[in-house]
This record gives sequence, structure tokens and C-alpha cells, in this order.
Amino acid sequence: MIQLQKISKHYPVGFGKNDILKDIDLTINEGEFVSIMGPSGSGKSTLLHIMGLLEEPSEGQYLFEGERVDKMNEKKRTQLHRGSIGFVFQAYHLIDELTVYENIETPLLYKNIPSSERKSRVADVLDRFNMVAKKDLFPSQLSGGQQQLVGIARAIIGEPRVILADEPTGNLHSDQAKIIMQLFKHLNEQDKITIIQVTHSDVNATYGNRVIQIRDGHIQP
Amino acid sequence: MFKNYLLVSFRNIWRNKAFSLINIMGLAVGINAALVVYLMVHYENSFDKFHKDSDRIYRVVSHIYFTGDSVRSAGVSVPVAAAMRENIPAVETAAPFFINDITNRIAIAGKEFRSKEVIIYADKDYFSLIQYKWLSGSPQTSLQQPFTVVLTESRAHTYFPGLSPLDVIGKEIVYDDSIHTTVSGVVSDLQGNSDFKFNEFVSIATVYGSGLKQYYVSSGWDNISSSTQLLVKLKSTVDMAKVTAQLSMLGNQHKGEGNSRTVMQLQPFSDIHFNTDYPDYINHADLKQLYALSLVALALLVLAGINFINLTTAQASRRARETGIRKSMGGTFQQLMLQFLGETFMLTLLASLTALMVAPLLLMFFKSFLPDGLSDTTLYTWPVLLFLLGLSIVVTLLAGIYPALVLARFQPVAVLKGQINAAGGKVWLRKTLTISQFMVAQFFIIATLIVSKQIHYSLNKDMGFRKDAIITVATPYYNVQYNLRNTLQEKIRTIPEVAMVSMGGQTPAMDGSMSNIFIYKDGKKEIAQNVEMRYGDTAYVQVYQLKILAGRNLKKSDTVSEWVLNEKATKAFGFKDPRGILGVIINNHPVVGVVSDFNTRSVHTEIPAMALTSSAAEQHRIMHVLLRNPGKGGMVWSHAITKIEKAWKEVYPRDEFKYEFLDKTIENLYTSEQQTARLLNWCAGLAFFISALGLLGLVIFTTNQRTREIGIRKVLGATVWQMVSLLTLDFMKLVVIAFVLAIPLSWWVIHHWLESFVYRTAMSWWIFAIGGAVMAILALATISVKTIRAAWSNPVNALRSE
Repeated sequence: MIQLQKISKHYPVGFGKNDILKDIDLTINEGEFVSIMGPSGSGKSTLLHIMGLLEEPSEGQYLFEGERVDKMNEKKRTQLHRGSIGFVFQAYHLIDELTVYENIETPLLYKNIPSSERKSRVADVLDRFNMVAKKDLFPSQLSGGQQQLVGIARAIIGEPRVILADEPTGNLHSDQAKIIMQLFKHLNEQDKITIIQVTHSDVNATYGNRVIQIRDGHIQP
Repeated sequence: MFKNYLLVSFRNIWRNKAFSLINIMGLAVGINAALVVYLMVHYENSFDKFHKDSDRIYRVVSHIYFTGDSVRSAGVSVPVAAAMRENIPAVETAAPFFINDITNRIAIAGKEFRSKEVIIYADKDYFSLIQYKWLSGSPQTSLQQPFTVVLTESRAHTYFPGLSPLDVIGKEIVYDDSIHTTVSGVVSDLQGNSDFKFNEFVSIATVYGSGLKQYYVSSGWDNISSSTQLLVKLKSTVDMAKVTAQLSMLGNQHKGEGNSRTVMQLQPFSDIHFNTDYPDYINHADLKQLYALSLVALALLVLAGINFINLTTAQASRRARETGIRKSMGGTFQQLMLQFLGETFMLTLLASLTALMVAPLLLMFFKSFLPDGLSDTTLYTWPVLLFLLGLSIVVTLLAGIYPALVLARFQPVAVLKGQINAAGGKVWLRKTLTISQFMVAQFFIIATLIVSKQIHYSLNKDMGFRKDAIITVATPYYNVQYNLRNTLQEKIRTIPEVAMVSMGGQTPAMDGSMSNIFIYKDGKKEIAQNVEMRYGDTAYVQVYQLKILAGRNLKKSDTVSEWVLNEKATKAFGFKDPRGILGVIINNHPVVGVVSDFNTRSVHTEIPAMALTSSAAEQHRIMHVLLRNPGKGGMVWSHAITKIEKAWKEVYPRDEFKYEFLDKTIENLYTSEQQTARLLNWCAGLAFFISALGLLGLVIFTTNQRTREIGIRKVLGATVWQMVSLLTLDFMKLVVIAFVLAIPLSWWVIHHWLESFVYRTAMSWWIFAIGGAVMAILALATISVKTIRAAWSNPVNALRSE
């Protein structure tokens, strides 16, 4: 599903450059649950952003479902964001001015899904995540764990084939983290969604079926 | 999608109450100003739009050329109407009408009315051009006979309350005790704004059948008066050039003896309301003021737009996260632009609604700047609402594009990684905008100060004659009985509270000018000189304390018999020493004295050559009364005025007593300057208000951002004062730069304004200093609203919240 070939990423610093990723070769198959681990600054978040088309690699080729992503135009990338990729962030990144319901609904708006279908799909997800009672609350009225649940609900509402999660439990305590990780496992096993998460926690990594260690921009064998 | 945007907009506006309020208030002020200007434009444009075939109606006007000079008149000589009917085939209808500006008393069944409105003499042709709905009588017959009159419905109601239009027919109206007329028709009032809103139409035959004929009708082609006007309607397909040629040929055929030349022209009907070249009874649109107000409105709108741009981009980081999230979910740049612009539009729309609600108040405040007929009932009509909608869209685009661009441009990865600086957009741009805002405010403040200074100077300048404790009383101008005026003067003279009374013509300084050509032959050459005229008896010089430099004062005389000239005139005729001109004969009369120069008009104009003479029978119509010491609480003066009124009632029992203090007369010379000053006051106030709002917004934003820094600095030992100056200095720098930049701008503009005055105040440096100080203090006060509280705050709170 995801193929990275000789991917590098570097930023110019002064007259030189600062290498973040060097010659990354990585293939992730449909239905995998991958955990990317490594110390701070090792480049794991950048790797995730590149896979999520939020950042472009400096060198190398990226194939998403066999298609060259680096050759794609803005419109096609947007299509991928709308249809195939869901994001979950460490800081949740909900829109403060929208309620739980509206936050979850937003991706559907960008997909131009008719109102009646939107309603039923959001209702389904709210039901599944046990959040029907909270649908009219604003993010600031929720706990961190609840906010992250909304974040995940928002990520899956567009029925993506892959979820990219950047330290999804980084701001949560262990009980909440456990719930979130079980949810990911469930999504992976039941809904066959490919999940790629960046994490510091060895415990979280055990939920997945593959761990990629990254250090100084290289994948450790 | 739309609903989602709408919700976010509303919640955003609501969540940031302070910033939204600042933006809405600023925009509301700007939009309000634009709204008022629009109302004025709309009002002025609405004049005389409803007449049938108005594109074929013209007014015939005259341009009269003298040697080296020319005058324009809204009227033509009386024979023109008949001549045009006969000789110019393109003329379908020619409708002459005479404007009655002499009627003073109107009597109906023994009851007296004073004429406040214009009465005209007209016939059926007039009514075929300006069409009315006839409630009784008919346009064909009602004005055929002499001594008939047609009234408008409202006028009929005033004169004959309770009578129906049919019942009014046959009633008698007596004008000035001598013209007995019978009502022969009633028309409904014109609906809509019109410059031809006359209410009483006396048949033109009345003029020909009575003593009025001498006053109005002259067979001479060079006897042109703006009270004898002519409207013509041309046939539907005519060659305008040909008509104009025929008209000028007609004029040439009847060219008079003198060296003046008259050119008649056709003034389009639609031009009448806007053209101020022809002095007449019409309330013209003041285009110059309209332009000035438009500029002001534009300036205020721009200032408010700057607030919006500054505050929105300064706070961009708050919205940047939203941009990032939306983009990662598939939102496009265009969709985000649209969303942010929509939000701006909501805000502008709110401001427009606010403006609409406040507008009636504003119209009340600005009454003196507005045309008389403009009322707030036009406020809630479709054109106005559409204008507001259009304006909102334009403002949204102008103010919203740049912030929307800044907000929609954020890259998701930068935002989500937390790499966004505190504010979006360019910092220098915000600073530049703030500086230009304060430059505008500063300009208005300095301009206000200088205009006020010039007015103060004009009012207090030594004009060369006494200004205080003098009142003038004008005798009724239609009453030519000389002996009555003498009686009045005698009666006033005996009042103990009156120090002196002079009977004469105009006051030394007046609004306008009357002059004669004086020709002096000194044996070799002839000197012709335009000389300003003043008339008075012996006491005139004494009342006004004019200084006699040589010779003697005037002797009172019924007709002109001698001159007293001023220095200017003496020099103009070639005499360096005033004594030299004594006894010299000019225009058949000897010069008997010379007085020092005094201002004969406002300080806009230079002191002209002037001659003072006595011509009591013709020209002495105004009492110039010098009062004694005003006494305690002005008692002496109020007694004096009561007694003068009593004397007046004995002499002119049927006329209204009016008087005016000379200081007031002089003040009235500067009404337009006072108007400018008031307008500038408002501009300065509003411009500063909007700019200060913007400044306050930026200060709130920066201080909130630096809360943590303030906490740390205080923990490290900074004093409150050090904190306040740290926070204040950055902003005051901008205000100071604005001041420096505003100096040349205001100097240049005001220099030009002052050049229209011959006698003017100096542009002292301290005016600029005061202007700068005023703004600095006000800005400082604005800033300190927030900074002092921030500096006082307990550092623990700031740091704990981290």
C-alpha cells in the first residue's frame, strides 16, 4: 500500500544542510498495524508527515497504492486527504469553535456528502464511540481522552484506508491510553484499516504487529 | 458546508468579543459616514426626476459680458419668451414666469399671513411643463384672467383650513393691500423633491393689468433679472446646435446700445439643481461639500479596514491551527479563503446593521451639514439597503482579502508541528498601516487647530472699525417712505440707553460687494477705478469710529454731493498724501475727507478702494445703533432693544422688528469656515477614535502574548514602571513616526487653505507641537488602559498557567 524508495529529507541550515531522513526504504502492506519508534528528533514524525502528504521528501520516490505521489498535483493530493488518509494528532487538534458533532462532520463536508447521509454516518460513529450524550459539547468541555476519541472518530468518518497517528496517547494518562490503543486495534482488525502510529511507548507498540525503529534518520535493521 | 462556516464565524465573533467589538465599532463609524454621504447623493439626485419629458425642458439663462467682467443670470429679459415662440420653430412651449420676491403681507378675510415662501406669476404654459394634478379648476382656464390665483393643496389648507378644493374657489386673497385676487384653482402638491416647489401661482395677466407691470415688465432686451425666468420645451427631435444658433441670433438682433453683450443659453432641466453659477431661489446641491464628505467617509472606512487587517493578521496564529486541520482533512486553499472572507462579510454586515440603527442619531447630529429636505425616512428603503449590501461586499473584499490570504496560506505541517510564529503576515506591514492610521488622525487634529486659529484670528482681527455694542436695524425694504425712516431715527436717538444712531447703508464689512466705477481726470490722463461704496450720514463715521486722516466728516445729504475716500482709493488715484486729494472732483463731486482703510468684507479679500457718501433718500435704509455700556447682566442693552422695538412698532406697526448685533454679522461672514471647523472636529475625533480602537486591539493582543514574559521579568525584579514603559514604548514609536510624517502633509494642505485668506494667521510651530502632544497623550491613555493592568498583575498567575 505504501512504498517508500530512497526517501531523504533535509533542511538547509546556514550554508550546509541538516539531514532528517536518509535513504529510507520502507513498504507497508494493507491491513498492517505499524508502530514507528525512536528517540526525539530521530525523524519519525517527519516520516509520518511524508507518508501523510503533509510534507514532501527532498529526494526519493513515494508510491501510495502504486501511484507516484511526488508527481501528483495539488488536486489529487487533496483527494487522497479526503478519501484515503485519516490523521490523529498528539494534541488532538480539534477545531475549538465547533462542537463534537460538527468536528466529526467536517471531513464529510469537504467530501460533499449529502446532508442526510452525513447525519446518519456521524450518528453511527457517535454511537459506536459512546459519545452521543456529548455531541453538543465543545472540545474545551471534554477531557483529553475524550478529545482524542473525537479526533479518532473524525479520522475514521471519511472511511480512510490508512490512519496516520502521531503519538496519539502522548498527552494521555495510561488508562485513557489503553482505551485508545484498544480502539486502534479494533479498527485494524475489524475494519481492516491500515494503521501507522508514531509512539514512544513500548506498551503501545505491542498493540501493533510490526515495529520500525528509527535512529538519526535511518531505519534500524 | 455553508452552515458550518456560518457557525464558525458566529462563534469566532462571539468568542473574541473585544476584537469583534473593536472591528464592528470602527467599521460601523466608517460605514455610517458613507451611508450619510450616500443619502445626500441620493437626495440631491432625486430632484425633479419625475417631470414628463424633462429631457426636453430647458431654462433660458443669460451670460452678460461687460468690459473685462461677466455676470450670469438665471433670468432673461421679458420679450425673449414671445420672440422665441415666434422665431424658433423648435420651441414647443415657452413658459415665462415671474418670481415674486416683494410680497410681504397676504390678507385673507381680514387675517394676515406673512409670506415665507416664493410666490410666482405664471400661466397655463407653466403648468404644461411642470405638471400638476388639478383638484379644482383647470390648467387651461384658471390662470387666463388677471387677478386669479391657483394654490397648492397644502397652501389652500393653510389659508382656508377645513375647506375642500372646490369650496376654496372664489375666495379672495389680497397681496400687499393692493392686489385683490380670487382663487381659481387648487392643485395637489408635487410628490417628490423639486426645485420648483412653488405654492402660489398668481396669473401672469395680473402683472400686466396692475401696477406690478412697472416692476416686472420692461420691453428692453438688456433688462435682465433673475426674477423673470423662462422655461422652454423643445419638440422631440430637434438639432440642439441649430436652436442654440437661432437663440444667439435672436440675441444679436436685439443687442442694446451699451457696451455690454448678452448671450442666452439653454440650461438643461437636469442641470438646474447642480449648477451654482446662476444665483436664484433654488437650494443647489453643494457639490464641493459632497466631495469633501465623500473623502472623509472614505478615509474613515480605510481606517476601519486597517483595524480589521491589523487585528486579524496579528491573531492569525489562533486560526492557523484551524487552517492546518482543515487542510489535512482535505480542505482546499480556495475553500479556506472563502470561509475567511465569509467571516469578514458577516462582521461587515453586523457593522452595517449597527450603522443603520445609529444612522438616525447621526443625521440629527449632522443636521447643519445636510440639505434641509433630507430626512431619516429615506433610510429604510430598498436603494439604501442595497447600497449597504454593496458597500459591505466592497469593504469585505478590500479589508478581507489580505487577512484571508494570510490565514488560508498556512501549511498544515508547520502549524501542526507548532512552528507558527505568534502572528501571521508581515510585521512591518502592520506597523506601516498603524502609522498611516495615526498620520490621518494627526493630520485632522493639526488641521482642526489651524482652522480654529484662523477663525479666531478673523473674528478678532482689528478690521479698522468698531465692532462691539453696535446693533443694526434694517427698515422694510419695500417701504420707500423716507420720512418714516427719519422719524424712526429720531425716536431711537432719544432713547437714553442709546449712545448714538446713524442712518446709512450697509455695515462697513458685509457679505458681498457693491461698487461703482470712479473716473478721475487729472488733466493728462484718465484714471478709472472700481470703488466699493458705503453710504451713511455724519454719525456713520462716529458710530464705527472710522479714523479721519485728512479733511472733514460727511455732511448728511439727500442725494450724493461729496465723497470721503479711504487711503487705498487716495493712492489709487495717484495721491500719496491724503491732504492732496481734498477738493479734487471725481464723478462730479468733490472729495472732502480721507479715512483710514478698513475691511469691507471677510478677511478672504483685500481691502479695496472705497468711497463713503451720503445719499439719504435712496440709500439710507439701515439704523446703525451704538449702545451704551451693557450694565449689569446686559440690562442696559435689553432695555435699549425693547425701547427700539417700541419705537419701531410706532413707525412700522405692521412689520416685524428684527435686529442684529454687528459681531454676529461679522461672525456670519465666516459660516463656511465655522462649518469646515466643525466638520474637521468630527473628522479628527472619529479618525482618532478608530485608530485608537485599533491600537488598543494591538496592545491587548501583544500584552496577552507577553503575559509570561512580564511574569518572568517581574520575578527577576523589574518594577511596574519598567514594565509599563517596556510595553508602551513600542507603540509610542509608531505614534511619533506618524506625527513626523504628518507634519509636511498637514503643512502643505493647510498652507493652501490659508492662501485663500488675504489676512491670515501664522502657521506657528507650536500648533504642530500641540497637535502632536494631544495625540501622544490620547494614544498614551489608550495604551495604558491595558498595559498598566498587565504590569501590575501578579507574576505567579502568569507563570502558573503555563
